[in-house]
Amino acid sequence: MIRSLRIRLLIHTSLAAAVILGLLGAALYFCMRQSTESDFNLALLAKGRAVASTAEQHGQQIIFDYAPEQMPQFVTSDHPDYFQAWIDPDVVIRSPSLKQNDLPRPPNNSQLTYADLVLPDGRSGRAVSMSFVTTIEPLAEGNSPGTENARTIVLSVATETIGLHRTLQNLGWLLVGLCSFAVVVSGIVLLWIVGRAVRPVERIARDIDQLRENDLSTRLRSSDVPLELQGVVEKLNGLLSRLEAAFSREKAFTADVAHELRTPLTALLTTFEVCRSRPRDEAAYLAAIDKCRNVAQLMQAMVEMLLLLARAEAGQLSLKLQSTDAADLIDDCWALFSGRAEARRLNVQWQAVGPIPIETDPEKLRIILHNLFDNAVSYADEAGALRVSATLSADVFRVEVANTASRLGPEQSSHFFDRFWRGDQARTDVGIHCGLGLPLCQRLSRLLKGEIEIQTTERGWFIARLTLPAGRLEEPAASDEIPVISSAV
Amino acid sequence: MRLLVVEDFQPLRESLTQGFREAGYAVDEASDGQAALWHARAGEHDVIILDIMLPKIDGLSVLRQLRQQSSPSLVLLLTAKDTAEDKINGLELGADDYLVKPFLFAELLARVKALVRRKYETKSTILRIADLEVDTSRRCVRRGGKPIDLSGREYALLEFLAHNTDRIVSRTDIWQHVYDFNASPESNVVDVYIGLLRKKIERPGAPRLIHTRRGQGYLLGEMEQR
Repeated sequence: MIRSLRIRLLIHTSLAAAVILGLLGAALYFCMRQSTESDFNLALLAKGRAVASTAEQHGQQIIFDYAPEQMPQFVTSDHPDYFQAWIDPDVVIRSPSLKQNDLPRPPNNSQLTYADLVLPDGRSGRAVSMSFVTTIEPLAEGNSPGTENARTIVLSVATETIGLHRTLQNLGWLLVGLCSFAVVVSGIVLLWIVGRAVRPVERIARDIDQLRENDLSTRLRSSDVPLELQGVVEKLNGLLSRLEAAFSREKAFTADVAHELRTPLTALLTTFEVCRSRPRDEAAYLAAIDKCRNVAQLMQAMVEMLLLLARAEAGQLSLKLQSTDAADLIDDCWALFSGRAEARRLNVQWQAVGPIPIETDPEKLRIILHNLFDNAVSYADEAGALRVSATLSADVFRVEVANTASRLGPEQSSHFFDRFWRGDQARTDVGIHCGLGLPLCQRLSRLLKGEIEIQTTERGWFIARLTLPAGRLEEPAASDEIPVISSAV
Repeated sequence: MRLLVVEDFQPLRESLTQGFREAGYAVDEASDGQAALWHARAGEHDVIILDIMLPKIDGLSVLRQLRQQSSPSLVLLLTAKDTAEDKINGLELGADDYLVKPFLFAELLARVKALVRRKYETKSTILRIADLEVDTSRRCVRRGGKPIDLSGREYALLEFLAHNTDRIVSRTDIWQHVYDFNASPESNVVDVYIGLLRKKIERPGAPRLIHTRRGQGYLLGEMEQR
């Protein structure tokens, strides 16, 4: 397999040119051969007619009245021509050049026929045979010429074909030579044309070679690229744009992760350092250890959420579908937050009465509900309101978790699902809400073939709506792809 | 010296406050930008340790408002943002120093001490008043070469007086710079600590260094004997 496009193009186009030139040469050869043979036959026929024109009938006598000096080719001994005439079945006349030899007797019909033969002197030749009726000459005055007693003569005239064959052979060789020369010249021309044709490909290859992984902002030039390659360049530039965006996202994500882990890491370091700066009693050490453990747990929660988000984005999470009572699941999840809601004196409005049978992955749904409840309880104002509703209609399961005291406006709605985006751009004293919960909820809801949307109202309500199909889902196969961002975590 | 620690992540804020208090500083703390501005207006802090990413009002906006109000406090920005642009932005807004998380508390403490020296225009870490030496880096005091054992509050009071040598400082000044909002504002607490300090650094036969200016305050310095 030849891998060079240039050589393959050259070979294919050269072969095509050779075949076309060969066919053209052959066609030309046969046309010229036909023409030459036709001219040769006409010349031979003219000789035959010249001989025939000398035939005269005087009564019953047939005379070929010609002077040898007028037709020396039938007399000379050097490369002579031959003729012979028959009046069935007798030979009427032989040319002197035939001496006692005979030409092959042509069939006795009136058609003009040509036949290749070996001449009496051994040369190859061709004979034309014709039949004609003699002209009756008047024997006495008062008798007019007539055809009453005219005799039919069969005449065969032969001449050598060596010259004809030589001419045709020369013509053949000339055409072969010309075709070969044309193939070579066309090969050289094609080499130049192919070189020019693949030059844009080579230039694109050079441009691609100059791309660096640390600078994906460069784009391939499409200005002077042939139309056939425009599509390739556009696709490559599109791929570069997508790669650049993906790399930028990952870079920003890595920076975000580093940034988010710095503060709790500083808290750990400072607590350790302050703790060991002087001798303390046991209670002080225990308090410091407890504080460090809490910080470590927050960091662990953040890292686990990051890993979960990374796996969800890489399609590595599999679904374990089972029949679930969504109302029970909501109650279970809420049990973890009811104490905090009570402590914050939240007015909880509950509209989720079971059973609500759905087919879903309960663990994924639990993570979503956990995040939504955590956000609502954390961000609702003290003694504010929190509303939870769940409905099932037409095979669609809907959950709505809403809380008051939202300071977020519609202009911020495009950021709700951005990783590490926080309405306040800071941790709050209610926990480490690092801006990963809603992106994770979005990924998981999509995995469950559903969707989550956020709405903020002018009256300060923050409403999260989760919609999931209640019927049977197809379990997607987990991807083996390694998530890029997991390495950043 | 009085500090204000503004940090929204509670465990870090608590540890910083504890560390600074144990280092002899009076420390107020705030968890958001709004509280930071309130504390900054209410008390005269020598140094404000200010996180940038804060709830309600971000740290850079707090800094901008402080500078617009001509706050005399020096500000050390404490943040996880580590790009040159972040640092330039913070310093151009009027920050006096910039420390990127994570850091060693010892480094933060050293930078705060340096800022305090800068504020009181003292380049040396050892303040000398006659034969009294106050070593601000090691937090120890000597007079005539003999070490004097002081409590944290006594040391803080002496260091503040030493930074203001030969200047009269009012009780209010002392209260503002040596005590934080957790201290009970009793009317004679400053006088009590001045008395305790005198007993420790002024031995019989040695010249008096802490002088009372009736109706004005106190002055630390070597006065000519009348």
